[in-house]
Amino acid sequence: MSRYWMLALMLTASLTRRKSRVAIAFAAIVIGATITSGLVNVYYDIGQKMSRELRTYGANLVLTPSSPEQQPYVRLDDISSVAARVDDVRLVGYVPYLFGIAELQPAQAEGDFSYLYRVARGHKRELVVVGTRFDQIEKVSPYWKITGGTAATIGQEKDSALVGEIVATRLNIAPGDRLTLTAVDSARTIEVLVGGILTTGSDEDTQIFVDLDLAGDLLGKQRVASVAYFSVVGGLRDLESLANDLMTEFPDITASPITRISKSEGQVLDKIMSLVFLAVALILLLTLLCVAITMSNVAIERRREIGLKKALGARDRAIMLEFLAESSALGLAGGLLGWALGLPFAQAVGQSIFQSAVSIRPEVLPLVLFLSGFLAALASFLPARAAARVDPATILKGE
Amino acid sequence: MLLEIKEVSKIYGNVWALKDVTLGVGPGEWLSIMGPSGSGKTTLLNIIGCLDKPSRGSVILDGADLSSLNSKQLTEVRRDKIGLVFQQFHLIPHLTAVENIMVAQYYHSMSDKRQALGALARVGLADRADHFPSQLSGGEQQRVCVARALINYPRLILADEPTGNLDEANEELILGLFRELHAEGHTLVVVTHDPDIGRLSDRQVSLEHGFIRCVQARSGEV
Ligand SMILES: Nc1ncnc2c1ncn2[C@@H]1O[C@H](COP(=O)(O)OP(=O)(O)OP(=O)(O)O)[C@@H](O)[C@H]1O
Ligand SMILES: [Mg+2]
Repeated sequence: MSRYWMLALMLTASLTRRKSRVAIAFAAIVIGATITSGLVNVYYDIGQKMSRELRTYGANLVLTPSSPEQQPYVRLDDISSVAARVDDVRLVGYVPYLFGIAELQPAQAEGDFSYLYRVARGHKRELVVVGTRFDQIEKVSPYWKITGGTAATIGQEKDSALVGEIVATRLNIAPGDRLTLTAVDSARTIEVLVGGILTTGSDEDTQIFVDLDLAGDLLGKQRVASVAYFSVVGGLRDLESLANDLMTEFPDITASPITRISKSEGQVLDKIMSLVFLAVALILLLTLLCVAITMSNVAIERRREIGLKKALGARDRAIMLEFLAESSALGLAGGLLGWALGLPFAQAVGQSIFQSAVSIRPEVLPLVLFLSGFLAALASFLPARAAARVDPATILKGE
Repeated sequence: MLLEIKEVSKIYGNVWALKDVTLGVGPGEWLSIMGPSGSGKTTLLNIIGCLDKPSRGSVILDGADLSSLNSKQLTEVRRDKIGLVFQQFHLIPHLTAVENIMVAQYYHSMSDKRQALGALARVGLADRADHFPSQLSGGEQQRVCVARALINYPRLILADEPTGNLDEANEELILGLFRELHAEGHTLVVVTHDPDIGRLSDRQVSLEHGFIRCVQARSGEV
C-alpha cells in the first residue's frame, strides 16, 4: 500500500467525515473562484465586445492615395483587396467616398448656397456631391441620423440621393424631390430622387450623397474613390501595425488610423481591463486573507490531533504536507465549483453590459483551478508551519 | 540495559520537576512509576519517550544518547523505538479503529491494513475495526491505543496512567493485555497511581517532588 494512498485516505476522511472550520475557507474559495471565473470569461470577451460597441463612433482607419499629385484617387479594386486582407472577424465595414462638385439646376431649388460648398470658386449654385455605398453606411457610420428613409432603403434605388440637412433647409429640398446635378468641369448630368435627409452635425450636412457608380458617371471617374473609411475592431496599436502592413502590400495607398477615435477607444478598453484586473486581484486577496485566517484557526483547533501525530512519529514535514495537501484539495474543489458557478455569472454580466452572450473560454478552467489551488496553499503556508510546530510533549500531559 | 537514565533533572523556571533521577530498565522488564500528583512522573515519561529533553543528565536508549540528538532525530527514535499509550486514549475521532492504527504505520513506514487488522484482533477488537472512537467504550478505545502502540514493534512501550479513565472491568482487560505483553518479552514502563498495577510489575519506582523516593522489586525488598 503506497504512502500516498494513506495520505489520501486521511485527507478525504478529514474533509468529508468531520465538521470543520475549513468549510468557511471552502466557501471563501468558491466565492473567489466564481467571481474570478466570471470576470476572466468576460475579460477575454470584453476586448472584442467593447471594441465592437465602440465602433459605433465611426471609422477608425482611412485610406487615401499615396501620391495625390500623380494619382488623386484610390482604385476600388485596391479598396476591396484591403477589405479582404482585414479578416472578417475584425472588419466591421468600409465605405468609399468619391468627392466632386456639381451644380444644381436652378429650376429645382432656390436658396442660399453660401458656405455650402466650402472650396467655393464663386459660383452660386455649386455643391459637394459624394459618391458612396449606401449599404455600408449603417456599419461604418451608425450614428448618422437619416429622416425620410434609411441608408439601406435609399441604397435600393440606384438613383436615390441623401441630402445633407443644411442643404435641404437652405434650398427647401424634401424627400421625393427630383434633382438634376451637372458636373462643373464637364457637361455630364445625372438625375436623382431625394430619398432622405441626413444629419451628422458635421461636413456631411452640407453635402449630397449619391450612389458611387452614379457619381462616377457624373464626374467621369470610374471605379475609383477619393478616400475610403474603414471600421476595424482593435486598439490603436493594432491599427497602426495593420496600417503599416497594408501600405507595404498596397504601395498606391496611404493607410492611417484615425488616432482620436482609436486612442480614446484604447483608453476606455484599458480602463475597463484594469478595472477587471483590480476587481479580480482584490477578490483574490480577500479570499487569501479569509483562507489564511480560517486555516490558522483550524491549526489551533487541531493541536491535539497534530500533537498526537507527532507523538506517533510524524515529522514536521509530514504535518505540513498534510495541511497543505488538505488546503490545496480544498482550493481545487472550490475552484472547480466556483468555475462552474462563474459561467452563469459571466452570462449575467455579458447580458447586463453588452446585451449579448459571453463565449465560454475553456482555458479559464485551468487558470481558475491553478489560482485557487495555489492561493489556498499559499494562505495555508504559515498556518501549516504553526501546526507543524505544535509540541507533542503537551499531549501526554492531557492538555 | 535497554534504557539508562543518569542524573536527569528537568527544571521549569524555578520548579524542579525532576531532580537527579538515575534509573535503568533492562530488556523485557516491566517498570512501574508511582508517586503523588505533581511528582514528575509524566515529565520522566516524556523524557524517556523523546517528547521532551532533560535540562541536565543523560538518557541512553538502546545504545543511543538522546541528549545529543536534535528534535528531528528524537522524532525518529520515538517513531522507531517507542510505543505510547495515553490516559486520554488520543484516537483521531474521524478515523475508524483500524485507520487509527494505520496512521501510526503511515508515519513509521507504510500502512498495511492486514497487519493493522491483526493488531486489532490481538486486543480482541477484530469485529470493531470499522467503528469510530465515539462508537467504542473507553476500554475498547484504550485497547485500540495499545494495538496502535504495538504496531511498529517498538523496543519500549510507555504508558501514562493507561487505566486512569477506565472502570474496573476494563482496567482488568488492559492489565491482562499488559501481562501478556510482558510475558511475550516486551519492555514496559507504566506510570500509575494504582498499587495493584504496581504489584504486577517487576519493579516499582516511587517519585516524590522529582526525587526517587524508593525502588521496590516484586519480591518486596527495598
Ligand atoms: N511545561 C511545564 N511548565 C512548568 N511546569 C511544569 C511543566 N510541566 C510540568 N510542570 C511541573 O512539573 C511538575 C511535575 O509535573 P508532571 O506532569 O510530571 O507530574 P505528574 O507526576 O505526571 O502528575 P500527575 O499525577 O498529576 O499527572 C509539576 O509541579 C508541574 O507543575
Ligand atoms: Mg501525569
